[in-house]
Amino acid sequence: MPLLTLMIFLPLTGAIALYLVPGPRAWRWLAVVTGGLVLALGLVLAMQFDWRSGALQFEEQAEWIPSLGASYHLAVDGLSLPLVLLSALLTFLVLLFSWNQGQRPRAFFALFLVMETGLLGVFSTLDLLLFYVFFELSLVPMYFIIGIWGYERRIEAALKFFLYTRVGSLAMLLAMLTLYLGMNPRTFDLPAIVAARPLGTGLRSSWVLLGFFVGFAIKLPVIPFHSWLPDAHTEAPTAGSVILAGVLLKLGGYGFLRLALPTVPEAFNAWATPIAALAVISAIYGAAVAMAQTDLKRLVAFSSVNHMGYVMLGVAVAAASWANPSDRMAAASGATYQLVAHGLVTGGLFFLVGMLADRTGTREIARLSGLWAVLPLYSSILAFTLFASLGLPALAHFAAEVQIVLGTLGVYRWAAVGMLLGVLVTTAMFLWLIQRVLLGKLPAEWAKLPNLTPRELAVMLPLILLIILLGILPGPLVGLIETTLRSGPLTALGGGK
Amino acid sequence: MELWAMGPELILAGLTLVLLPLGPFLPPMRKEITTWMALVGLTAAAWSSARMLSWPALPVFSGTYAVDPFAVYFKLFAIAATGFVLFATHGYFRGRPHAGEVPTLLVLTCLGIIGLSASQDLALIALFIQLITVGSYILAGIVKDDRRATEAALKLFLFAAAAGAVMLYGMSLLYGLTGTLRLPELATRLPAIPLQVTLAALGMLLVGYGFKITLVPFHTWAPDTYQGAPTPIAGFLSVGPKAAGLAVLLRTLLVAFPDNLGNWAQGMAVLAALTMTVGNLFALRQTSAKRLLAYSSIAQAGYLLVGVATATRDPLAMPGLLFYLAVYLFMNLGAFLSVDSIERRTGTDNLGNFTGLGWRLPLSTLVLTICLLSLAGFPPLGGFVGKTMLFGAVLGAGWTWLAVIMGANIALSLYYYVRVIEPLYLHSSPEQDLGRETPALRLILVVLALGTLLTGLLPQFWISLANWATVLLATSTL
Repeated sequence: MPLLTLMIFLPLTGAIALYLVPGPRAWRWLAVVTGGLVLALGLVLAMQFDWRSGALQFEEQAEWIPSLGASYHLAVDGLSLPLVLLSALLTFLVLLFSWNQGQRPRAFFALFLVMETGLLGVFSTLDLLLFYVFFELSLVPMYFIIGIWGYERRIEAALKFFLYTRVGSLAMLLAMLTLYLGMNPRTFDLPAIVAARPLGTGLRSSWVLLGFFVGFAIKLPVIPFHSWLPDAHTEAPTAGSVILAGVLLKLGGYGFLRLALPTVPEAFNAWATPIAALAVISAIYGAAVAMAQTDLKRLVAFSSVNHMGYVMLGVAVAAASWANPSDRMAAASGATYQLVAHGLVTGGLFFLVGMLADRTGTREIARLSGLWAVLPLYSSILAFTLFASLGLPALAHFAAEVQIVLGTLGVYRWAAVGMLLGVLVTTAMFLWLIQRVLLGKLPAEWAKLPNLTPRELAVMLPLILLIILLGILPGPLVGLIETTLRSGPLTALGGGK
Repeated sequence: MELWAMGPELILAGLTLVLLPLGPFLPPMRKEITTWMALVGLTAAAWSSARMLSWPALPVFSGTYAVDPFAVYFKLFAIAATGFVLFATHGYFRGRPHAGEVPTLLVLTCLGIIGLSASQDLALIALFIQLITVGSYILAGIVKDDRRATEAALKLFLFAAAAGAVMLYGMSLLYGLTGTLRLPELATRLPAIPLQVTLAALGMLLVGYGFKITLVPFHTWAPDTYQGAPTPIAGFLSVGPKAAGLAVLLRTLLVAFPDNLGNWAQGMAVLAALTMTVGNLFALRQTSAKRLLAYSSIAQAGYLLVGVATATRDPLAMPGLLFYLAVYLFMNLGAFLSVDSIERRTGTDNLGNFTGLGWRLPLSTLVLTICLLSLAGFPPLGGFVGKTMLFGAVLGAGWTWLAVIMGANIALSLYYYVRVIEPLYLHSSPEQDLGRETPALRLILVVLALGTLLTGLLPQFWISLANWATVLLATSTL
């Protein structure tokens, strides 16, 4: 049973079905049911997955463009499975959250479903050309989502997002083509390319690394390629921001781990130190600038830059082939874990910010204070999620960041120090935020705000549970990731090079 | 007389001769008979061309005309282009004067395109270029009371005359130097000629070819002509003659100037870079959709020329070029015909009036969006696969600089394509449903959008076709 194909194309079918049925009520049911079905399929996938094997599973291969050496090649392993599940979960929650979407709901739901197809496809495919197709497929709907349903400066933000990430994608395409042309016979098949290492240590492998780096550093993002992110995240509608932060940013991290690291490890190794430096600067910069924000959503957006900086650091450490294999493994595993954690936590944060903005009509931190008195449940959830975001032990981010720090400590002592500095700044920022927004005096205008609806609570609950679960029981996920990195297609990270 | 080799040409010529007197003498209510007859004739010609798919490559008519897969590909291309456009001109010209003549002229121009892509003799090339030009400028200016159209036709005519004259001089130079007009024979005799003279002659030939392809700096007629001509005709001009120009350019370079004589490959690479950059830069500021598409077509010609430049240097180049042309037919014609549909409903092609059309005229704007995204190279549309093949060809040829320029251009072009898409969906206007398009237009828009989509989702069929079509007569370089 081609489970992966079914899962990937079910959202697309749902999107098309939306245009075949009439009436707003049918649309939201169709959307949520489709999202739920995809999530259910994901859970079936997870249950049938062999957690002790690092190999590729649920492999599907079919002819697509034999003349070009591109095939329809799908599979998941321990690296992609968590991200597939994350995408399915967040899309389902987003569709549920948007139940009452009044403005052009049909197009809204359809775009999210098409985007889900793209996202699930990126994480499942092993063919470079197909990877690119799915990668870009998730770009176009997001442009429309930001541009049509966003806030005041949505058009400018959408355009910036579109153009910026397009440049990155083209750089990535050139890198992919260079790898493709180096193969004999020419093929886009990733396992074949990783096994053959066509470019060795030559100049061309540096160009490939550059292409991949530009492409994924824009997506992740890493400074100085981050300037699209604050505007896109802030101006996007809540649902859009959740997917943008929760899943789209993961494409960058996943690209580094799945594509860049295995295909040009020598080049990556040569550039590991500068990249690590950039990562640390990005993390500290993100946290510092976040602290200076007056717009709540923009603050959360910059905190994403901070968290993704740690991912980049983990990847850079994993690339340093002269380092201790266990350090590299810890860093890579931490980076992957951070991707999942960030998706849950920051996705949750954007949901919460959206709920607040719906109620108060503002995102200005200066105007929000003392909310704990009027919205106790909401405030406790917000505080919980903010604590999770700053890396409180027993919550998801801690498990990820501690692995990255431990790995980095043995390789780049200065980077580990920088990372801890970043964590410190982030902690200060979020505590200050809690103090400003949740504590203090309650202004008269917020004296009466509606409580959380059951639907909003239902949306946050899975995220809360998973954040706690991934915080107190990191073992299974870490084990899964490490098994994959050790014995799967990424053996370069396990010291196999 | 190898008439068997000229099936499609004879059918089309006969069709023209039948339609020509028919047009003026039909009563006004019945003018559309010419359109349907033209479509029937085109179908017959397509069937005849398809029969030639399995034939080996042969010279006919004493080596002046070629029957090879390359020529058959362009026969099918031209017939498809003409057929698609007829669906739009049918509605556009209804009730206007000369409605009955438009199909005839389109078929005539189609004949010119077919002839040009199969000619192996410089005189024949000049003849067919002229035939295409005559058809083009009459079609461009056929709406006589529109000043813009008359200006378009006049510019086309004058430019064609000047470019044609230079080209003829180049041809006569080649004849004087080598004593022959046949491309294969030129290949054997040109190496003996001093290189500077050969290059000068080639340059003059390029003026004539480049005019048809909208190669920079011979492109300046295109924006005015495309903007002024009736929109379906502009769409036809942007695909048909351009493809013909590329076909004859490829044939001339590959057959008559083998082994990169005079480094034409590097020269074409530079011209390609120039063309795409000029096209994209000038498109950025346009406020008229047709003019924007005109400059976009110029840039697309630049991408196609990359395929010409790398034709002998990488196995991806020729198939990539031919595949891209097929997609280009769908996406560029789709874009122009969508704009035509919008223009018919709103009366203008000014981007400022596109506000909120995405919700008021859903089919046309959806097709326009699909075609524009394909022109910008987004997967899963055909434009992406085509651009990927051309990128591969450039990188395979070792010209990284050109790949980077091409990448920068593609990124740049997104800016102005988005400028068209943005008002359609991202802005809203007072809801005022604009009704639906005519059935013929609806049909052809769907067909073109599907073509754009399918060439991207399932490109293997088209790539196989393109691979098969790379066989040119008398080329030992491939």
